[in-house]
Amino acid sequence: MVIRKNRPLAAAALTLLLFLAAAGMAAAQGAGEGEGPSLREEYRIELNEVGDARITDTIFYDPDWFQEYGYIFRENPNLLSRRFRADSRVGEVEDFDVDVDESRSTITVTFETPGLAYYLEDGWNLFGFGDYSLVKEGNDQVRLEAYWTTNSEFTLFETMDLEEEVVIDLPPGARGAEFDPSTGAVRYRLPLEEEAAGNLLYRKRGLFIPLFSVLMGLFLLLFLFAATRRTVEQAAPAAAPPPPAYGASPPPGASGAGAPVPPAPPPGTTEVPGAAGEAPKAPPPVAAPEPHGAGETAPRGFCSSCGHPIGPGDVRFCSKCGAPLG
Amino acid sequence: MRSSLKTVLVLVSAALFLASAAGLVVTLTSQPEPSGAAKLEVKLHTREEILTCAYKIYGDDEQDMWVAKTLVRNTGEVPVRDLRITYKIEGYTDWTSTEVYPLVLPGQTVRDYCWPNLDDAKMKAVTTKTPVEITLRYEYQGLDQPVEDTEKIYLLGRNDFVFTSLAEEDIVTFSDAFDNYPLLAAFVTPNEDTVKGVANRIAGGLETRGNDQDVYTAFLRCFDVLREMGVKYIQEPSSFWSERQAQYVQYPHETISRASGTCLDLAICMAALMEAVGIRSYIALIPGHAIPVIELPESGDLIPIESTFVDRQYALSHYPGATSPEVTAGECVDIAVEEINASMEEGQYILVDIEGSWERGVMPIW
Repeated sequence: MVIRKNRPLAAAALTLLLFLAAAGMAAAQGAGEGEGPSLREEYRIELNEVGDARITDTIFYDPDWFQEYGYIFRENPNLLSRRFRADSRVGEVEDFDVDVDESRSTITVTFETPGLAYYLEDGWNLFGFGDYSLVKEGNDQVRLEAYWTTNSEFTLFETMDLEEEVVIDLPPGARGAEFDPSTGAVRYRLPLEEEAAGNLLYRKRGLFIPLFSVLMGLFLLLFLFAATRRTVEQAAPAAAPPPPAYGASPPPGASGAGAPVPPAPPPGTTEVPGAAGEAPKAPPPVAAPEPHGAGETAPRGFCSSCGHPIGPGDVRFCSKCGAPLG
Repeated sequence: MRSSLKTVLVLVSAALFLASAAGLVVTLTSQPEPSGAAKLEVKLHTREEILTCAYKIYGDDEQDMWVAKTLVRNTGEVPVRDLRITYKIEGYTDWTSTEVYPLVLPGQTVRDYCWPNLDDAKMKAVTTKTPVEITLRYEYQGLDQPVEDTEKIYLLGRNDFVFTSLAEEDIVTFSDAFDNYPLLAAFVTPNEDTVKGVANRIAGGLETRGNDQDVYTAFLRCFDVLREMGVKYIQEPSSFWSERQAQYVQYPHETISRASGTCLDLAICMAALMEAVGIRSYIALIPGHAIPVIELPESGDLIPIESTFVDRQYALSHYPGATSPEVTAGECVDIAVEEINASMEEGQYILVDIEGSWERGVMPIW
């Protein structure tokens, strides 16, 4: 099972402290909360690529309060460390250190926690922020905040208001970082786990090699098919088209002045009658003769008897077989 | 074929061909995972003992009261896949629901916790400190069969209460000596049949959920009813466990049926009787003593009472001159206020919030 984050300031007992003899019953009931000194805390979590964390917890005290009571922390180092040294913290707290800075009225606790983030089906998860609200969400850093009332060793068992900010420094390469308020989890992904999953290609190479080979073959065939097809040429729109030869009919689709004129066929392409966008048609049953040369006009048609091209001009009979032309 | 369509087809087919070729090349050149078997370092840590009186809290994963913790570290060079962990306390739980960790990278640590659902009837039957075995079972992809590890832990008797879990050298303040005090709320059992019966007799005809005067009256009646039942004050043997701050604590129905109890037993009993009729209750701990306290619903005032004086003989023998055998409930309220004020001046005072502890998961055993 996955544990939620344990907060050092929330763990202690609600009691009066021997050092502070002045606390009364009203304080024990929670009366007077918010009237005394307050705290500010920055809880920084620096995560590495396998979910281990370096914690730096800095508590900023009211200077007047710290001036009066700060010496107690210095003289009783066990007071601040005992919760972290407890047997129940085995595996959760390593390299613990605490620094009392009376000049800045701060206490800074540092320690390392292996395995603070858990890798689960949905990526890396950092739990324990159910009562926090989001301040900033980014792939390098997530910032959360919360407001508490606290009473622990760190307040010498005096009830104080606490403004806490959690700064989570995500490992390099993290992406998709998001805070889910419903579960109180910060979630992110790393390339590392994907690299680990990358060996899937090797483990499943019996599947992937034939698959990629078949795909290669299919796409090669498609490429060859496409590359060897002859294109259907459209009449080129000419800026200054040559005047149509006398007697030549306009191409189908051209409806008159201003209508687009099909481009001239490039050398080497087969001329097929048809308008732009028209599907290619089957070639005529009789191959057209070679053009007679540059500047020659196209034949008017062919003899219906022998198929011989009909020459230009007002010709009424086929020049080859003599059959009358319609 | 139109030239534009041809161009598109040529480009697309070429791109797909190249992509397939690349996939084939990557597959052919993919490296096997680093050779060698997965290497996990698995350490099972357990609590030394379980407070049976508060056994329900050990099953609450919102609390920090786990029974066992497993530290798993991948010390090898290959990822471990599909790590599965489960626990069992033989005779007291089934196997817990399996926790699954899909991937444990080299160098990664996984901390897994055991919050078992302990068998209600069997836990209530534990009357003395009892050794039990907790078994960890884990498995992962590539392992021939699951691995088990077993540790011994102790269930304390259901009436045993250890006041602090802090090490001796860490006990600095009065409250440190009672570090486990929120768990006392587990002894306050307002829904137990015997308690319900007596509580209803006390509260009959009173508006105990919203009227200060009626609540105060019920509190005094409670004291008088216990006195009428002949409840005696007894003292705990000086050392139940050597070198431990511990005590045999009675449940309210035991105090009623035995007609006797320590100051703590009586405070717990009165708190349960008041809670049974909807009156918010507390227990004040001062050096060597425990005092029941109620909260008036309208004013919020806290009213304590010296519950040991239900025993007339004790009152007379120990407070000659200050009290009489007929010391009234009202007088016992004044006595308790003085006791608490004196302790507060010395900073030696703890107020156990019964309902607050319940809300934090310390549920009554009955």
